[in-house]
Amino acid sequence: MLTSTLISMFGWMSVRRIFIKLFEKKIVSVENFFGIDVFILSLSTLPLFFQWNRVFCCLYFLFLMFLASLVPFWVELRRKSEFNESLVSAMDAILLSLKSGKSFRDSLGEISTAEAQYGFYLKEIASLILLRQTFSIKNSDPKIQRVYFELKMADQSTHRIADRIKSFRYQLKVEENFRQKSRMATLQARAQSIIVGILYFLALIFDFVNFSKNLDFKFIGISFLLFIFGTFWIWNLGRSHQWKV
Amino acid sequence: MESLSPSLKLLLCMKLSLERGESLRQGLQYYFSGASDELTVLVAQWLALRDQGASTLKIKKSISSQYRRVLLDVIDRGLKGESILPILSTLETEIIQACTEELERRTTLLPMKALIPLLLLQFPALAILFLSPLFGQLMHFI
Repeated sequence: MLTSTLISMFGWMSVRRIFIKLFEKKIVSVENFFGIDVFILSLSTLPLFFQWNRVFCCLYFLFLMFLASLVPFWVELRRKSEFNESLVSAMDAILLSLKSGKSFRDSLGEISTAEAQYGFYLKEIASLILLRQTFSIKNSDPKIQRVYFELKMADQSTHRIADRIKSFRYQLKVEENFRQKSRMATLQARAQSIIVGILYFLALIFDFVNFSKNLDFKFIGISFLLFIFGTFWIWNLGRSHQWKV
Repeated sequence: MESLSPSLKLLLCMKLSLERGESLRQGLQYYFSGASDELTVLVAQWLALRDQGASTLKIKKSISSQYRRVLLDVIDRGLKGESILPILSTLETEIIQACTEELERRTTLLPMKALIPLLLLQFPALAILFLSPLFGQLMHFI
C-alpha cells in the first residue's frame, strides 16, 4: 500500500510536471490548467482506489506520461485546423472593418482581442504585427508564414490596403474551395475503409471470444497483414494524385 | 493531393502581386518562396535561361500541360513590359474550370479505385478471419 502510494505520488508529480512545462510554453492555457490539474489528480488516485500492484501502477503512470507528451501534437493540430477554418472569416472581418472607416491596425487589433473566434495563430500573427515584432512562431507551416507576410506587407503599405486584402481573401477562398472538393473526393473511400475496419475488429474480437482454442495465429497474422496493407492502400489513394492542369 | 494545381498556384501568385501594385518579378519571387512543386523548379529554370538570353523552348516542350505552357508565355509577355492582368483574369477562369473538371473526373473514378484494395486485400482478410477457426480445426485433425 505504501509503495503504491509513493508510486502514485511520484507519477502524479511527473505527469503534472509535464503539464507545467506545457503551460510555461503557452501550449496549455490558464483557463484549462486548473481543470487538467484536477483531472490528473483524480487519475493518480485510481491505482490507490483499485489497489493495483506495483508493476501495473508503474505501467499506468508511464502510459499517462506518454499521453501527456502527446498533448503538444494534438494542440498543434487543433490550432492549425482552427487557423485554416477561420482564415477567410478573419479576412472578411478585416475588410468589413476597413470599409467601415477604421484603420488596418485597428482591424488587426480587433482580431487579436477577439475571444476564441480566430484561433491561436491568427491572434498571435495580429499581435506580432501590431507590436512590430519579427515572426517567431517556430517550425510553423508555410501557410502561417504566408499569412503573416501578407498582413505585414499590408500594414507597411500606405495605399490600397483593402484591395490587397480583398485579393488575398479571394486567393484563400479559391484554395479553400479546391481543398474542400478534394477532401470530399477522398472522404468516401476513407469512410468505407473505417466501416470495414470496425467490422474487421469486431470479427477479430468475436473469434478470440468464441474460438480461442481453435485459432491458428498464422492465419490471423496473414489476415491482419492483408487488412493493414488494404487500409494503407485506400488511405493513400487521395495523396497519390498529381494535377495534370 | 495538393489542394491547388501548380498552374493555378502560379497564376494566383502573379495576379495577387500585380493587384498589389508590385512587379511581376516580385510576384515570381513570392511564388518561389511559397511553392515547392514540380512547376516551381521548371519556372525557376525557365526564368534563369530567359534572363541569360538562352532559348527556353526545351523547357516549354518538357511541360505536358497546355495551361502551364500558356501561362509561361503570358508571364514572358508580362516580363517584356506588356500589361497582362486582364489576360491573367481570363486565364484564371479557364484554369479553374479545367481544375474543377479534373477533380470531378477524379471524384467519379475514386470509388472504383477504392474497390481494388477492398476486393483484393480487405475482403480476403475478413474471409481468412471468419474461416480461421475452421482452418485451425482442420490443421488439428491433419
